[in-house]
Amino acid sequence: MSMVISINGLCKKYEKFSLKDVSFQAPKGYIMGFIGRNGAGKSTVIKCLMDMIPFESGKIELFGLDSRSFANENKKRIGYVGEDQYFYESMTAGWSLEFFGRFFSDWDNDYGYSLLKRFDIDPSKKVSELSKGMKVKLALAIALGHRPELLILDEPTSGLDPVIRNEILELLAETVQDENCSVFFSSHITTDIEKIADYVTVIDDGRIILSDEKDSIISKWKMFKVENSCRGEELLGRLIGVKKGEFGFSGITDKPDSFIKELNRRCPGARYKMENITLDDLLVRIAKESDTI
Amino acid sequence: MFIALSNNDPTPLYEQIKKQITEQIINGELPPGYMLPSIRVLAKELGISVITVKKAYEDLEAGGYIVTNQGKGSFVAKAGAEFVRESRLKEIQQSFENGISLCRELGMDSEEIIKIFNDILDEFGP
Amino acid sequence: MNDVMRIAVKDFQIQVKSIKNYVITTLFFVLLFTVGGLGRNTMLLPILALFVLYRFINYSMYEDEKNNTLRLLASLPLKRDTIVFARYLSTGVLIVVLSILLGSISALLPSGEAGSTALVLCIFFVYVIMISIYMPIGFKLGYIKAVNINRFIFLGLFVLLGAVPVLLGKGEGPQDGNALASVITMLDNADHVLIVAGFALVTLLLYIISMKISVIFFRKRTLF
Repeated sequence: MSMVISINGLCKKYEKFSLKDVSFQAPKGYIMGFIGRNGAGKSTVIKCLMDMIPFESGKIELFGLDSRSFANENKKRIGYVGEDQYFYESMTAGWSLEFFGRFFSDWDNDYGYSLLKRFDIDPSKKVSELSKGMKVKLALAIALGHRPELLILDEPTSGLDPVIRNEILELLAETVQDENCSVFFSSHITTDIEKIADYVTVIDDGRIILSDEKDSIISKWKMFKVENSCRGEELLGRLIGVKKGEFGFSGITDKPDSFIKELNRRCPGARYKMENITLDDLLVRIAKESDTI
Repeated sequence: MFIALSNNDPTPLYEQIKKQITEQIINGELPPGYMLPSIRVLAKELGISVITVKKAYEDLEAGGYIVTNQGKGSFVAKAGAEFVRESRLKEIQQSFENGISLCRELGMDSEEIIKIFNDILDEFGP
Repeated sequence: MNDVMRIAVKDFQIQVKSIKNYVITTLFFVLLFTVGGLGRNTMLLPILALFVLYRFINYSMYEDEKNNTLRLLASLPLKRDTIVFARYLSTGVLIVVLSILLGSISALLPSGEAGSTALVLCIFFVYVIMISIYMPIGFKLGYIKAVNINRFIFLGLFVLLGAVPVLLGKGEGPQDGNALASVITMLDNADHVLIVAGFALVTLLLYIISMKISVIFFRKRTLF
């Protein structure tokens, strides 16, 4: 399996925040979701990928090429949609489409306009008259119009209503119909990622917590809810993101079998429930865990 | 082909896909040689991860229900018809075993069991 | 090259909306000079042109940075050099067009000093100086920070140009210590072709040096 994105030991320092030894890979032909809470470092990593900001150490490769030395060559094959949409407000949607699109050598103008049509965007409308959702769709039309091999999206769906979010997700699924195309998108709306992502990478406080097949994550990790009679520190230590309550405590683990064994060993007969987790649970518990450290 | 996934169902998505395809192969809806949608197309249609569908297809192939030709696609195995028959035979065998078990629990002997069986068979006609 | 042209043209295309502003400004200045009676209206045109130039480059920079459109440009397969080059190209074109217009109009006017080629060249030189200083500052600091500094430069030049008639008007000749008048007289007497060539070379050099500096500044600038 070839990797379309390969990051190794990425370190970047800001005054109050830094990326610490970020490493993960995104296989070609699939959709990778990049999740983490606000301020975890998702945008920073993406900006490093796009060579928009410098970084201190580490190696980033896109399509097997160094992200800095081959920045412009890589950008030709990438469609990027950032967190906020920046256009010349006084110009029309159609003008914007062509202006930005034509910087790509593979730009297909007819295809670009057909995308605008599909997104229900009137090309003669001024950008200032477009709603936020339509601006995102315009940015997508520009990004897709040159048929990129890699779509990098930085929180494309935040602030959008469920209808538009769904449209965008469908669009992403369509993109990877071509096995040569890959999608890398970051979001803190985990339900979107849960639906269509093939792979998921979790980042918190500038560190990669895990990166794996989404199905594996969902099947490996379990949520345990145990009664308080068995609330020993040793046992709690085996769970991540422990929440203590009046009527029991809960936490998640990726080794459910050994946890159950321990539980039965320490408190035979103690009541508990084991549940599947959602990516939301994962994110919340991981964040909780790092906050307590 | 009809596939509908349920979020409320505790079984994993790929299991649900396997089950539904298997059922349709067994009841003959998907005849041998029928071309299944490509993994990516099915993933898009169901709105789920490509890898999930891939896993289902791989399991189906391992189980002998489908055959995948690189570049051509996935097809219901010719042996599908055989599977149907074998599957059904297994079910029949199981039903009989269950029935006979129950009879034995009631303390019936072989003669009585055969009599009951023949009576029912007569109801079905020749 | 295509990319450069497109970006340069863009600078003009986005100004279309503010044509209204330019018309209002023109009327304002015409009023100021005729009603205000600031001497002859010899410097009306050059000052107006200066103002147009100032607004043009301010607006270009503003539009790029107001919505962080520069960030979108940063995600494109586009070298930062290209962006700088395009801005210099569009502004350069405007300077040349304004100067030619000035030259042609003043050639048609009956009054004296305005008809002097040398004066037009001096004014052209002034424009280039203004832009050459303005642009690197803009590229280094970004529109918001640069605009205040650049206001000073603009005002200074505005005053300078406005003062030209005064400088020219006072004094009857070189012996009055009127340097400007003497320079212009000298230039008028010299070989025109040589002068024009000389000017062209110097201004071009200045412009190019300014551009190189802007490129260095812009490459280093953190847009995020």
